[in-house]
Formats: sequence, structure tokens, C-alpha cells
Amino acid sequence: MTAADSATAGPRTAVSRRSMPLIGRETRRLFRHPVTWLIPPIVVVTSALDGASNGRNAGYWYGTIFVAVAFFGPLFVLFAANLVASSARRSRAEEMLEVTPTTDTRRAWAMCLGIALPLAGIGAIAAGAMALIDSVNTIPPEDLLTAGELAQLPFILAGAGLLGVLGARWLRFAGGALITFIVGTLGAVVVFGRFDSGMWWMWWSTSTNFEEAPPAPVPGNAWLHAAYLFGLCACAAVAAVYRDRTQWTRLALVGGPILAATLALGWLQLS
Amino acid sequence: MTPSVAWELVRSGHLVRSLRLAPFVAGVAAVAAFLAARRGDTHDVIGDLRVLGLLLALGSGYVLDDGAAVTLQASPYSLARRLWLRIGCAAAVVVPLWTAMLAYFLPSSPAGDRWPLGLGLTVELAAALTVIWAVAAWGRRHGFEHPGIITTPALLATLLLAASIPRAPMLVGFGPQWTPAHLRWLGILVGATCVLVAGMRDPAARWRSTDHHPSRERQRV
Repeated sequence: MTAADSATAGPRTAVSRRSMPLIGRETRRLFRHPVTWLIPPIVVVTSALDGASNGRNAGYWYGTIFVAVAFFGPLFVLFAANLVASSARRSRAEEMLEVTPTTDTRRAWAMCLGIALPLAGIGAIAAGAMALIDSVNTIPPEDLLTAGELAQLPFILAGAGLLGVLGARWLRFAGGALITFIVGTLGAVVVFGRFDSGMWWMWWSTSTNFEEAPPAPVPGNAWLHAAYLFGLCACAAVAAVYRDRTQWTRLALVGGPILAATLALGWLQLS
Repeated sequence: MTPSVAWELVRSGHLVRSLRLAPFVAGVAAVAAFLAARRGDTHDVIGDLRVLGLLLALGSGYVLDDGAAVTLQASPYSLARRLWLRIGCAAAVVVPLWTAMLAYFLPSSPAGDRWPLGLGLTVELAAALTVIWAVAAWGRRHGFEHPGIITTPALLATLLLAASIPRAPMLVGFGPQWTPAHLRWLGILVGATCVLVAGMRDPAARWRSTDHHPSRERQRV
């Protein structure tokens, strides 16, 4: 972009134009990462080896897409995003990045958007594919997801990526990714599994449960749970961006209302 | 590396200081939190011990991370000896913890099943640990200074793939399939051990390496 372009486009357009290459670079780094490339072979091998007792019918593919997007995807995307977000620190390139004309805040925004947006897009495509399968075939009622439950998928996948970025920004030591994973998955399952409405507060789909108990024993609104997941994604992004000590005032000013709104949505979904 | 050098590294605290303790402590803390959440409930022996073993294995994945690895490449002691010492350090924590957990959980199972259960679950943990360390050793061999971070997704991928084969189930409950499943786990353990040993071989070593121990070198001189 030339100086003349900047002058005619206005400051906000210029900023967004300057951010686009950064966002695209983070997206490319995520999708080129070897850990991200673990997902397709695992999905292919597990579905190929699956006994599929009822044959590979529409219900089978419906379930396979769900498992790929809501289980395998988030599991590995969390680590891939963490590795991408922590690569500058691990390769000791942060000092060199400090002298570039882009601020750490802008780089962090670009990282969050570059990781979350394409993942949310993939989740939306998967939800669309599941809706398409449902529209042309009959899915067993016990496997069928409502529109609200399908709407949760993009936020589950994007949220895993943002959780990885959050872990990389706040836990800046070896093992930070492991702690994020343990707390975010096993810890959350144990904690939220201890009370009836826990499934609605967990950052996962309300359509299924980890235990043998029936899904979502407490009634709630799946659309509002999707909005709650979006709120959690926003909280993770804001916390990741304003991680620096000099930005903590902004973190409180911006993050506080978002956290309050997210908690309100979490409470409203149960009514 | 002679035992005296190894002991000196342990005694002086250099070895412990060079280990990545945060993931290890996180794994042990997660084990403690899980046991606290169970509140003395030991009815699901196999499920609980599998989760606890997984947490221990994940915490041990960073044990081969060594910030001084590049400096130590010039050391007269082989890569394998340096890595075995670090693995031994992790094992010194994992083995007593695992033994304590077995002693805590196994009395809840029928008396006749305790030995096969304990042995089978120990083989599972040993296989998981060996897979993690093999990945880390190969990561280091290929230039990753801190390969610990890739061990968690690698172990999860291995477990997911291993558990997805319906004709050869791996994560089985106690019953007729227990022994065949654990023979398969033993196969994974042996395979991973071979990969680990190959990954520990010094990249600069020839196939028929000569003994370069300093004391023998002095004798030759």
C-alpha cells in the first residue's frame, strides 16, 4: 500500500488493510502446522477403521462430521494454535518483533482473528454439511442436532484455537500448553460434571455428554448457549490481546463488560 | 556417563534444575486434584487409573527438554547416557506415585483380578511413557530444542488411533479381551522402546562406534 492510498483511504481503512496481511499470515501458519495436519489422518483412519454396524449411511457421516469438528478438531487445534502463538517466544524472535512498526496488541489481534475466523468458517461449513445431510436423509432422532446445537460448532472450534492463543500469551513457560489442555478439558469435565447444569456452563456442545447420563439434564436454550460460547471466545480474545501489563487497565475496561455479558448469557440460557 | 558423574549431577541439584518442572508439577497436581474430586470413590478402578496414568505420562513428556543440549553436544558422554539420566529422574517420581496409586485403587477390585489388572495397567502406562519419550528423543534428534510441547498431541493422536481399531481393541475392560489387548500394548511398548533407543543414538556416531569414555581414552594414550 502506498502513502497516497493511506491518505485517501482514511485511518480506519488503512489500519484494517495493514492488518489483513498479518491475519492471513497467522492463518497460513496455523494451517501449515504439522499438528493441524494430524486431524485429517486421524479422522480418516478412525472412520475407515470404524465397524459402522449399520453401514456407512447418512447417519454415520452426520456423526463423523460432528466428531471431527467437536472432538478431534478442538483437541489438536488447541495445541497447533498454542504452538503458532508461542513460536516467536520459543524462537527468541520477540526482541526483533519489538522494533517492527506493528504493535504487540495489533499482532495479537491479528493472531486471534487469523486463528479464530478460519476455524469458525470450517465449523460453519461442517454445520452446513450436517444440515444438508439432514435435509436429504433421515437421521435417527437420538443423533439429530437442532439448529441451535449446530450453531455451537463454529464457536467450539474457534474457541479451542483462542484457548491455545490465550495459553501461549499468559502461560509463557514450557508446559503452558499442557496446563491449558488439562484445565480446559479434564479439569472442566470434572468440575462441570459435578452439578446438573454443568453441561450448559461447559465450553462444549450441549447435544452430548461425556458420561452415560442423558445429555443436558437441566433444560436450556441451545441458541443462547451458542451466544454464551461466542462470549467465551470474545473473553479469550480480549484476555489474549491485552496480556501485557501496560494494557491491564484496558483489559479490565473492555474485558469486564464482555465477561459480565457472557455470564449473563450463561445464566439466561438455563431459564 | 559414569555413575559417579550421574550421582554428582543429582546430588548437586544441577540435573533437577535443568528439568522442566512446570509440566511435571502440573501433571502431579492434576493427579492430586483428580483424586480429591473422587473423594475416596474407588469403584471405577480401570477408568480412574487410566486417567491418572495419562496425566502422569503427559507431565513426563517434557523431561527431555534441555536448554543446555547444544552446549552438551560437545560432552564426552553420549547422547543416550544424558537422556537416560533424565528419563531415570522422571521414573524416580513416576514409579513410586504409580505404585501408591495401584496400592490405593487395586484393593477395590476382586482379589483374583488384582495382579492381572495392575500388570496390564502398568504396561499401558509404560507404553504411553515410552511413546512420549520416543517422540521427544526423535524431536531432539531433528533439531527441536524443546520437543516436550509436541509430545502431548503425539500421545493423544496415538491413543485415538490405537483405540479406533474395532478388531483389535486396546482400551478394554477386565474380561476375556484383557490379555490379548495387553499383548498388543506390550507390542507398542517394545516398538516404542526400539524407536526410543534409535532416537537416542548420537547423530554423529558411526554404526560401529568406538568407546570414547575419557578413562579409556586416557588408558589408550
